[in-house]
Formats: sequence, structure tokens, C-alpha cells
Amino acid sequence: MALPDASPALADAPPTFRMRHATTIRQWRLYAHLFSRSFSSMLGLALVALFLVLAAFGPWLAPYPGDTAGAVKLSQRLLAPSFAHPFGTDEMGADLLSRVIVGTRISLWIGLIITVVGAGIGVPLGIVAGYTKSRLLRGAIMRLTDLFLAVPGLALALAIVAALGPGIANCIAALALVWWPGYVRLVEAKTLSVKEELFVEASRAAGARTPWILWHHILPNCLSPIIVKLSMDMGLAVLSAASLGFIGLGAKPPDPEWGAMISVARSYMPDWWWYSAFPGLAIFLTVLGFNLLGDGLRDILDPRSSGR
Amino acid sequence: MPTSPDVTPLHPSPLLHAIGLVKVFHASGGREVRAVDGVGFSIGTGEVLGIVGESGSGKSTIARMVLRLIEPSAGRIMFAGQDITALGDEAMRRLRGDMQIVFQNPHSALNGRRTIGEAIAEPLRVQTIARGAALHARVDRLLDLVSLPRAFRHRYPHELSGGQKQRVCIARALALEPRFLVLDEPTSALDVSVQAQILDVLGELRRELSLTYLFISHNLAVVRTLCDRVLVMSQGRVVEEGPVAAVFANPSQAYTRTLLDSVPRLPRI
Ligand SMILES: Nc1ncnc2c1ncn2[C@@H]1O[C@H](COP(=O)(O)OP(=O)(O)OP(=O)(O)O)[C@@H](O)[C@H]1O
Ligand SMILES: [Mg+2]
Repeated sequence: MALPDASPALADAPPTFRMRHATTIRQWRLYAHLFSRSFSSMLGLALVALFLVLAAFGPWLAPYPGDTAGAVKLSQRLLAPSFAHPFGTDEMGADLLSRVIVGTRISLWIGLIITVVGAGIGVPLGIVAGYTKSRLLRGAIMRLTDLFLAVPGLALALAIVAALGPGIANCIAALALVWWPGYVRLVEAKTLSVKEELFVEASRAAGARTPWILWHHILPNCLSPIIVKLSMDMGLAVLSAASLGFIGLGAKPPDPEWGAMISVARSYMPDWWWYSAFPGLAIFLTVLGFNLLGDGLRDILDPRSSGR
Repeated sequence: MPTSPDVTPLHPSPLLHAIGLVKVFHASGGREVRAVDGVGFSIGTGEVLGIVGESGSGKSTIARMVLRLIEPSAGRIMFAGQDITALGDEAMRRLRGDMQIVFQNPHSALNGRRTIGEAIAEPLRVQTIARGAALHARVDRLLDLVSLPRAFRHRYPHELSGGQKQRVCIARALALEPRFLVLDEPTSALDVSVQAQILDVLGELRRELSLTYLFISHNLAVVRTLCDRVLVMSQGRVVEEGPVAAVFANPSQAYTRTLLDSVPRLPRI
């Protein structure tokens, strides 16, 4: 069989970027419109944006950058919030606002690494479990996942850190190791339904190999719920890392990590309330921001599951 | 138009030859469904073989087995003189360029996250036949072939009508320049007015590109105009077979007569 030749006369001026991506641009406009109509989504976005800015430019935004590395100014110990020190000072006389701001970067890094590593392990496992014809492989992956899901993640992470020894790196490693099972569950369920679609069969009929199908058909159709879960998990991961810091298994006190700060501040409650209140507020707002953002993303990307 | 041989059910050298195909599905609860039960037929080069039968009679299952998209429980499939029943994955993959399929439902046969251009280019990319500018030109030609504007390559499936989507599916099936095309009720999910257009496209393409069709349909009027021979199926078995004119003029089976008498069913989505 031979196809008739294309007539070059029909080809007019090459389409511009805007023309080629008209649909995508329209789609994003619609997303932006839907998103901006929801107050809680916008609040989430604003909070996340705020913390991202603090994480990126913290050392330049902090009023007393020197105070973050464990400066000792005994004359200014435990000052109440004032104009000079809006969040007050700690027992070493360091400015709390500066320490909270600079701590943002550590917290977000920890959260990001944990969720990305968790998704990096969980998503491939989920796709394989959902797509494989081998009952044995699928069973093995899902049993292991169930096993991990049956134990509370934080408790398991605690045990791992206890074995590895305290410290930020070990805390990240432990949380990343317990973070993947949720992604396996999510992606496996989605893959099971997507692989029955006709376009997957059409792709096989054209001679596509399995990796091609997984990359071009299965993964793109699993992406929306993954993105939503990533956002939700960022907040949770920050909270978990802070929890480990709080019980002394994560970051160590001179480091301006929020959990570690509260851990020390505990003994100054309730008279010097600001010492623990402001790091706590930072944790609370981060978790809230990422959750609201994830909720908003789910409403526009994955509307069918928003009832959960 | 190649004319059908009058009575010979077996061609001297058929393009496709299916022998004793059986497919048993294991439904939930250990129940066995014999979706196809001992079906054999052959299709000569350039011929159009129609398969008609009620819903659930096993037509789509035959289509999938013939292309080895599902494995037959028993039986053999010969394509162009080669036994492909037990062909290895890699050899089968290469052979797929010669045999393509257009599915019943164009709405789910296209991935909503990929553009029309990507969908049509996919067979050429996975078979590493063309890339870059050559690929672009081939996609343009395929869009021309099914009379879609070239600018459609940048669109997504949800922006197209059912008929346009089915044209895209046809273009994708033709991308590898196959000799043999399975059409599994290519119009049953479409509006009546669009059905005629798609059938015209298929008829023209067949003449231009000298294709061989296995044409599955509910619609007997369509089978009558497009097919040379027809297979009438019921509950996984062939109940009647022969040249279209003979079968339609003088159905020997009561089942065929009821099919002929029945009103065309509503398209299934
Ligand atoms: N994957 C499967 N598992 C179990 N049973 C199946 C499977 N696929 C098809 N069947 C059964 O096999 C029988 C034949 O199905 P098939 O899709 O081939 O029918 P069909 O003739 O194409 O019908 P229609 O005209 O509605 O498309 C049906 O009873 C169907 O329920
Ligand atoms: Mg069918």
C-alpha cells in the first residue's frame, strides 16, 4: 500500500506557539479560573507561596541573620514580642522571627525529599503491580504495601530512626522509607482501570512495548491524583519531621528547625508562651497551606474523587 | 472491485486463515464463558469479509484473537501463509504493521491526554519508522487521507466529534500501511448521518490502498453494501456463511432470517 503524496501547497504559514498550544492554554485558563473562585484554594496557594518565598530568601529576609546560628546574647533572653523582636527572643537571646524564617527552608526541604522519594518508590511499584499479568508479582507488592500500611508510619519511622541513630539525614531516610505505600495503593487502583481502556489495546495493536505504554498511556492518566497526593503529603511530611525533631530524634536544637525549637520551648511554657507558639504557628500554617492547596487541586484536576 | 468467488469458502491463498478458533473466558466465580466456539474462516487478498451476529455473539473476541491481542484457547491463525498462533512477542510486534484494527468505540480508543498528532504518530514511533520532519509529514498525509484538517494535530480528543475521532482512529490504523484491517463495528457508536461518511471513507480507502477488511457489524444494510462474503454468528458459533447476495436473498437459517427481519438496533456507547 502506498499513501498519496502530501501536497505542500496545502501547508500554510507555520503555526505559532500560541496556535499549537491553544488547547493547553485554554485548559490552564479554565483551571486558573476554577481555582481562583475558591477562597480556601487561594488561601492555600497564598500560604504555600509565602513559605516558598521564605524558604528561598530566608537568610536575606530575616531581621537578625546572625541569630540563627546559635548566637548568645544573654542580655536579651526571653524578651516578649515587641517591635524590635516581633516573635520575641529565646533563652539564648536569639530573635525568634529570624529563626522561624530560616527554619522554613529546612522544613520544606525535608518535606520535599520525603514526598518525592516516597512517590519515586511508590509510583513505579504501583504501576507495575497494577499492570503486570503475574499474580505472584502483584500479590507480593500489594502484600508488602499492606504490611507497611498496617503499621502507623510515624511509629515505624521512629523505630527506624532509633535504629539508625538521631539526626536530620536519618530522620529523612526513615520517613521516606515509610512514605511510599500510599502511592502504591493509589497508583495500582488507577492503573487497573486505565489499562482496560481501548487506547491501551490500540497501542499494543500498533506494536508498542510495555515500557512505552506505561510511560505514554498509564502514567499520564495517573498523574492528577498523584499531584494532589503530593501536595497533601507535603504538609504531613513537614509535620512528621517536626514531630521527630520534637522528640529529639530529628534535627538537633541549635539548628533552627521548628520541631526542635518547640522541643526546647516546652520547658518555658506557659510563662514564655511565644517561644513555642510561633514555631508551632509556622508548622500549623504550612500543613494548612499544603492541605488547602491539595484540596483545591483535587477539585479541578480530579473532581470525581473530591467527595472523600 | 474484487469479486467474491461464488461458493469456495477456502481461497487458494488466503491472506488470513483462521482454523477452529476457541476462546474460553474464566468469569468470576469459576464460571466458564465459551465466547467463541470453533470458528474458522478465510479472507482472500482484497476481499471484505463481514461478520454479523447479535450482541455478545463473540464478534469482537474473534477480532482480538485474529490480531493476537488476546490469546486463543484453541485453534490456529495463519496470516500471509505464516502460522502466527505461537509467534514470539518481538516477531508479532513487527508483524503488527501489516494488520491493524479500528475499534467499536472511538471515544475510548484515543488517550485524552495526548494530541491527535501524537495519537497518529504513535504507531510510526513505536515501530521506529519515522521521526522528526519525516514523521511530521507522514502525519499530515494521514490527516489528508481521512479528510481532516492538518491543524487538528494540535487538538485533543475531547475537542472532536465522534465521527472525527473515528477518522483519527482510521488514520492511526493506516499509519503503518497495513494490508489487513479489522473494523470492529466502526460506526456503531456514531450518529446515523456520520455513519455514512465513515463508511464512504472506508470504501474509498479500500479501493485506493487495496486493503483487505474484516468488517464486523450489527447493521446488515452496511454489510450488504460493503462486504463480499458474510459470516453469521450466534453464541460463539458460525451459523451461516456465504456470499452476501446469496445469504441475504435466501437465508437458510431461521436465525439469519430473524436478524434480517429485526430493526437495526440503537448504536451502543
Ligand atoms: N474479558 C472477558 N472476560 C469475560 N468474558 C468476556 C470477556 N470479553 C468478552 N466476554 C464475553 O464473551 C462474549 C462475547 O463477547 P464479544 O465482545 O466478543 O461480543 P460481540 O459479539 O462483540 O458483542 P457486541 O456486538 O455487543 O460488541 C460475551 O458474552 C462477553 O460477555
Ligand atoms: Mg463487540
